[in-house]
Amino acid sequence: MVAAEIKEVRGRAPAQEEKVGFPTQYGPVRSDRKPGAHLVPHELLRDTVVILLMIAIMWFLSALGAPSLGHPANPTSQPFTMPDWYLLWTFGLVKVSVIFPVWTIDMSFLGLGVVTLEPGFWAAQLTIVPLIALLVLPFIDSGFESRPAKAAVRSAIGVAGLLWVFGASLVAIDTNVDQFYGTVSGGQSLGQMWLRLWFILPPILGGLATYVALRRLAFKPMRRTNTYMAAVGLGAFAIYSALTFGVWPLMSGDRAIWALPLPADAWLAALLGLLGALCALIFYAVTYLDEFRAKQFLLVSVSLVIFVLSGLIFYGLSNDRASISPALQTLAIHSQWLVGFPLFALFAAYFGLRTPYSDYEYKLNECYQCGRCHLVCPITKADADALGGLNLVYNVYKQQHDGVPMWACLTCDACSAVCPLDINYSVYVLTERAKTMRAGANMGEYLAKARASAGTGTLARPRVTAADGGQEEKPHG
Amino acid sequence: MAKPLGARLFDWVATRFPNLPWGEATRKGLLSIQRQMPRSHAEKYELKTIWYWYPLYCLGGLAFIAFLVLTVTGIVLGFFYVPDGNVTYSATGEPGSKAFQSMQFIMNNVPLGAVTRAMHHWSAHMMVATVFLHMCRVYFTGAYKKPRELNWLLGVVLLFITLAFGYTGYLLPWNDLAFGAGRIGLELSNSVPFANLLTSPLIFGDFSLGPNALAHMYWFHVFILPLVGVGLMVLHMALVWIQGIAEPH
Repeated sequence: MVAAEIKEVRGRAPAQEEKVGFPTQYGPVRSDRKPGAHLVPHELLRDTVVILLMIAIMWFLSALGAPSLGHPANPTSQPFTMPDWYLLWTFGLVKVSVIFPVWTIDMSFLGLGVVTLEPGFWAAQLTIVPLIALLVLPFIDSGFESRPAKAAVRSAIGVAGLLWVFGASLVAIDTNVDQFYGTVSGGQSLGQMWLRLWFILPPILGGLATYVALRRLAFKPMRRTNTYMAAVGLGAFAIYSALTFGVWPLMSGDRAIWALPLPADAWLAALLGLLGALCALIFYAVTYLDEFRAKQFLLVSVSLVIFVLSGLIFYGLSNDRASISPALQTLAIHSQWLVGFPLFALFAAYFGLRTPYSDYEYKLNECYQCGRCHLVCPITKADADALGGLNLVYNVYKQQHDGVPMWACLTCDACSAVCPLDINYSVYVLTERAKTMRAGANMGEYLAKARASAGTGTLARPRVTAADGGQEEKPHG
Repeated sequence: MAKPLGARLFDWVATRFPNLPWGEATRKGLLSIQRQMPRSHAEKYELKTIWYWYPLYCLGGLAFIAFLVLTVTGIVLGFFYVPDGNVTYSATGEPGSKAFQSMQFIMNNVPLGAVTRAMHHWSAHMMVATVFLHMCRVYFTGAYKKPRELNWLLGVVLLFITLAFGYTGYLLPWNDLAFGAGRIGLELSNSVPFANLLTSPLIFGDFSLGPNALAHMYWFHVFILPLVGVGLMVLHMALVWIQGIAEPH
């Protein structure tokens, strides 16, 4: 039967691996050999469909949305214009660069006159930054290509960069709309200072969140990273609060934010303290407690803070108390950040706290049968059953190990050392062995009890005694 | 015995165009180990499934297709467009220019002119989008690493050429949008001390926005950028062919 199957497999068309340029497939003859999806017609068909789809979309847009010609250029007027979406970020940099100082440098001793560095100069410098970053990228980042999920730092920086460009575009849109249609937003738009934070905060927070999520996805323990994340949440909250309610009003002499009657000040301080305490509690839990206690602690403290906060808000809203309402309103103005930081710390803690599962099943899917594990495996050189070759990882994946890799393996991890994908074979082998042993032990126990109760005729339900940790079963009537 | 006409024509060409073994050399080159017809990742590694992000590998090709559409529609538009940005005022004080008038002629009088311009417009948007997404794909899979640094640098230059195509392109109709965008660009260029002595006259023709700027933008858009861009695109794709597509496992 088996011989016939092998003969049938060998009779098929030669596998790709026998052609030049293909990796050699080690291991016994596999009965499941099927060629992969071919370039022709599979991928060719897919590419054709995608190309035709794009052209169809272009025709559709051309038919429905013919670009308008607008009004002819008039040098004497400056009408409302908005650049195309792909240049909005540059425009945003122009808008935001007014925060930079205007420097006047007297270079007349060189015969160059007085040079003024205007906001436009800083905008031009900011525009060059991404270009330089892109140009030096391949020289500061070495290594090999990999999936985004396996390169958490690179992906985080990428997401941060995209958010930076997106934030700059948003600033361009908002300032333009604010400038020309001030009545629409009623002067209540985001406001210049908070708008400029779009350049800083979403990139940092988005990048960190990507890092956390990808480290989690890659099934790596990340206790220390977790601490950093919680610390970032705590620190960002403290800095933001100090800047908003302390430094900024004092420096600008603008007491509008802070001009609350004294009891309201106290209420505001209490509310800020509550949110800050939440950040601090999260930081404490993920840093100093073990996983189980940290989870419990997080759950209890977060529920408590949310309960108290919502209680206070309800109290302020329902009774319209003069002392707490101004504080709540002040808090509401900055709610997007003041609530965002504790939430960030909370999510970072939650995603980071969980112990990674066995990573083997996840990583096994990445095996592409390079066969290096076979080359270094000492068992394949010594064991007569394995002399024909073993592709350890792939055979286990296909459940073709039939006991040889499972029980002959020394768990020396020579295969893991050479695996290009860091698949830990010994982890899997030890887990599987432990599983089998456990099953065997349970079975032995079961059989022993069954044998002991054989005389009573209750084979199906073995007696559980107090010594087993269960309750003594009363004999049936 | 007279040969058939086709054979005689072939001989005529062959005697005047020496029969160097180019075809044979090309065939050998293509069939040598690293230069075979590209195989799919799934084919090479006997994978049964199409990877979920495989379509992201089409993006560079999509950008090229969009560029082809832009070339064809751009050639058609070039027959009718007049790059004259002198603003003249009518008796009622309405501003106008020959460039804008030629755009109106394309939109209203040329058969299928509006559709051609719309195709040019939307495929330009599509090209910028696909080039940007293509760059994102290359970045997030780390495909720019050794030995593909050179191709990444080419790609960065091509990205900025694409943006420059877009910018110079929407200055050409010489309408409100063109003038506003030109003003922003010129302010940016003017505000860098010393460098502006070179960049402003080179890119915009002057330190203030006028017909010179339109002439420069036109020449960039229809000659310099296509010349440099097509050359770099050919290099870019040749390098992909030679080095193969990066396979992030």
